Amino acid sequence: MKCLSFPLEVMSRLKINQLKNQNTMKILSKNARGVVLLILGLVGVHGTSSVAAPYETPDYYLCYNRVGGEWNFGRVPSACDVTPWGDPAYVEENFAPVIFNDNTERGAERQRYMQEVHAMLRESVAYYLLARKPDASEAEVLAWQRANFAKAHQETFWTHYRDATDGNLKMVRGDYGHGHGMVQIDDRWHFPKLEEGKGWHIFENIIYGMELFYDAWEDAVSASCVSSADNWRDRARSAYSVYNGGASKICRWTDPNDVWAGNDIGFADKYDSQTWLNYVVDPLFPTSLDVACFMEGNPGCSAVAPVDADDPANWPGRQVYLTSGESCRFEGGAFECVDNPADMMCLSIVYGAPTGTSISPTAEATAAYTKNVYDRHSCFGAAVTGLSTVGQTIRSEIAINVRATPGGSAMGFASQAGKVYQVLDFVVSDINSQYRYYMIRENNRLGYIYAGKVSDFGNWTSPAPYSELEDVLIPQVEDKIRVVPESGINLRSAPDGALVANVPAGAKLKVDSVVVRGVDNSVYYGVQFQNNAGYLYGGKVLNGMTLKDWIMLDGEEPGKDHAEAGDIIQLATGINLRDVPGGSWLVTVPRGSLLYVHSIVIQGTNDYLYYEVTYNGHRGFLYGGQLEGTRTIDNWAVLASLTLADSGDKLLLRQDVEQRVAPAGDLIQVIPEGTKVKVITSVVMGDNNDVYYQVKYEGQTGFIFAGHLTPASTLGDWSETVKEK
Amino acid sequence: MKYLYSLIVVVVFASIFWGMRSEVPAVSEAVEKKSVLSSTGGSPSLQEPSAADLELDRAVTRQQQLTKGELQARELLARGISDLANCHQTYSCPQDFSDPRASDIKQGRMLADKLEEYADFHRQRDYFDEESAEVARTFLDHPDGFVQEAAIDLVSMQAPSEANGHALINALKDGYDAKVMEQAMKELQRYPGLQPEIDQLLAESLQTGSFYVAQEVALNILPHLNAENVQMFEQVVSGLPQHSVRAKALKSNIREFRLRQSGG
Repeated sequence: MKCLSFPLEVMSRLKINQLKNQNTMKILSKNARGVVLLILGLVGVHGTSSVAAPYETPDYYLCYNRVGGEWNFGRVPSACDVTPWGDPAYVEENFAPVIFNDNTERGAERQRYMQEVHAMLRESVAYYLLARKPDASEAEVLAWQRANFAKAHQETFWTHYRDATDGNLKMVRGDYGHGHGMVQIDDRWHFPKLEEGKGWHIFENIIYGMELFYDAWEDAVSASCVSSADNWRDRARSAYSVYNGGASKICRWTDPNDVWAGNDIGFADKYDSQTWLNYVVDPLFPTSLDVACFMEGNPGCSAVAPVDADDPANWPGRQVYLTSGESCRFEGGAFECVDNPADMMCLSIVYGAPTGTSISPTAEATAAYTKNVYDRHSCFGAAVTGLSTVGQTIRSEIAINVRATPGGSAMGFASQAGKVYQVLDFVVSDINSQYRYYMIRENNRLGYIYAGKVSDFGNWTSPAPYSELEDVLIPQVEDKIRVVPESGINLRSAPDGALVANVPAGAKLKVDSVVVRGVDNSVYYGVQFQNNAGYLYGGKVLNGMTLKDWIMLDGEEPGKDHAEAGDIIQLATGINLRDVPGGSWLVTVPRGSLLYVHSIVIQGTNDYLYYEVTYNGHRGFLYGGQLEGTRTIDNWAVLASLTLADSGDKLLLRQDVEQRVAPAGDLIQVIPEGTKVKVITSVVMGDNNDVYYQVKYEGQTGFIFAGHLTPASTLGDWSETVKEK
Repeated sequence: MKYLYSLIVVVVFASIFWGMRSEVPAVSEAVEKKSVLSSTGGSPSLQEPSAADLELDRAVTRQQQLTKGELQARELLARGISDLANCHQTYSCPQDFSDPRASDIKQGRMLADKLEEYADFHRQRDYFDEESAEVARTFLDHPDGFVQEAAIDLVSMQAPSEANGHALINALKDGYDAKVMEQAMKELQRYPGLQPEIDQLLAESLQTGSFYVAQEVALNILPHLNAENVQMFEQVVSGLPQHSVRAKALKSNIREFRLRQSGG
């Protein structure tokens, strides 16, 4: 069996990532979720590695250039490259104070590191508690902080990032590599969460740990083993027992005979002794990280510093956050602003790098000054060389990892080299290099690809003709569009301008112009309707895409309700394959699997959907959710973006292939690599969803093998579909 | 409250079995072995009806009642769920000492599997009643996210009822599983009569809920917005940290709602 088709290698901005085995990823990606598995540092590292867990991740999975450490704060073993989980350049840009530098004198560095991490943790955990419980007493805040300090000590000696001597940025990986980050999120139980960034991103890691810890902290109030709500030590111990052992273990710490009593004792020791204070010179040392900004999920946050925010002398050169919501630079006596702090990069490119930390003056202090607010699209479009803006089309020059956020967690698939995509969003970072990321849709999912810097962006993506775009989400000039809402869409004199007329549902119009505006990438189409020129709102891209609710291309049909016979589906979760719908279990098909649909069955009051498929030699039925009542089909399986070549499509062969009279039948001839052949029909059969195309070559008609779908698609190894428009 | 759920399970299943005993003869061990197959990987499955009995191409008509054999089969499934859910009382929980949390996780996965089997049984027959609703409600606030998902799935298959809606809303209070909230918000769209309670749940989740749940609520709130509640959510957004992910998503969806109201 040929190996998987996943030829990408992903360049991070600073370093070349190592290959990620998509095949293994798929096998690992069974559904698992829930709570954080906590592992006592020493037990974790020296304990058993044979665990029957939902994800059979091997030890040190995706752990590159592993290094050891020592059992002291900031450097517990082991640590592996942040790549490929996250982008090391992003970490270095944003979290420099909390990276332990292995290349300097150890004692002084530990002192510095602990001071910084203590300040960051102190603020982060307090922020979390007060966000969840605004009326928490000061005593509770202090107790909560202490409990979280002890937890971080118990887990990893407050270790997270390390700048190692091999020149690579590391993150802690305990328990044979299964535990990720300061709170040790275990990849055997939480693989999807780690894919979302809950391991490598220090704030995501801390928040994810606190979500469970807080729940247990609150439940502990009514636990029989906790004497009173303000017995903070008991509450901390109960919360840790749950955190470490599960919801049923809230009083585990009272049982000295429990198998895991040692963990509870270890936690109590740390809670009582507060050893970390030995390394913290100033317990009130202010963190330079903008904790509130990171805790609220913003991708990039500038540093903060205690200066008088209302003094105009402190404004020039800094990022100034106005109470009205805009983020600004104070230039020439006026505020030059954008709506979203994430777009400050545009102003920095225009006005130069910020020379100080960010500040937030009061409304009274800024009221007397002029404020100019720039739309992000026009601002970036003018400021960044070679940037493709929303709606434009690009060709992916190479396969590039698709990430959930710019520089964030890889989603497990890549853009296709040569394929044309529509840009749905852009993000730019670094004033000088102007690293850029584009949001695209691939595999029916939205994600970001890295697209190079100002000096090499052409190596990653290039502008492409719109005519080559197959997946049109934002129609362009000269396209014919159709109004979707039953109540029609208002025609306005300008985007969000005065009402001109109502264009009824189904009306077909030619696009004269396309305008994209605002922080949600809202789309407006300039059209003519009954001799009136104006603009129609066409939906938004970000925070829940609504484009197709408003406008569709003329002739475009609404997306398929569900997959049908002949389609390829991709499982959103692990699903049991049964001999008949609801029948006997045959095998569990893992999440992410691509399967050819032989037939579908819909039955029952709620239209329960079943797909007939083959997996690993078993042919049977997968439950696919219900179509009526609460639609649940997306929870089970989605139409895959990977499709078979249609009759009439041309295939470019990527290797020599044998043409046979029937699939796996007698040999006719060998067709050489590089040949283009026209597809007559396709057949999917066999235990691994083997794909065959019937083609004609040199007067002979027969079948060629074109790869298989399971356990991972190899179609790309054999041929490439050439769509000739 | 969640730690009392085992007690509730006992009461629920005791009442179910009490009712069963009054109308169904005791099931022999031989019948049990024949009617329920154990499959590998913790995925037991019903064998009945056989493939020959199924008419795959035609919609199954909603069944009015279960046959005696089906009642017996359902009792076995329910007993399996009950036994596992109450395993702490009977010291029969699955054990896995390879890791501190492994036993709890193992129990949760097995319970979710059994609930899915229970749901499969009812879905295949297109038969749901108060007993199946009660089983679903019992597990909506289980601490394991997989179990919650299976319970919500079972609720989704049934006609909306006030009891189911209230149980789901209560189960989501103080939850920290964003995926469960996403799934539940779809289901809650079927309960317009409970919109005030749903609004309160969503508002509290946005303001003081789990960070990840709040983000999920803000991203998926559009179908829940209406002319009556939009102002309330506008007030909510004004009180959130203005550049937070939840505030940006909520603001975005309120604007989208307003545009839909006004025709764009």
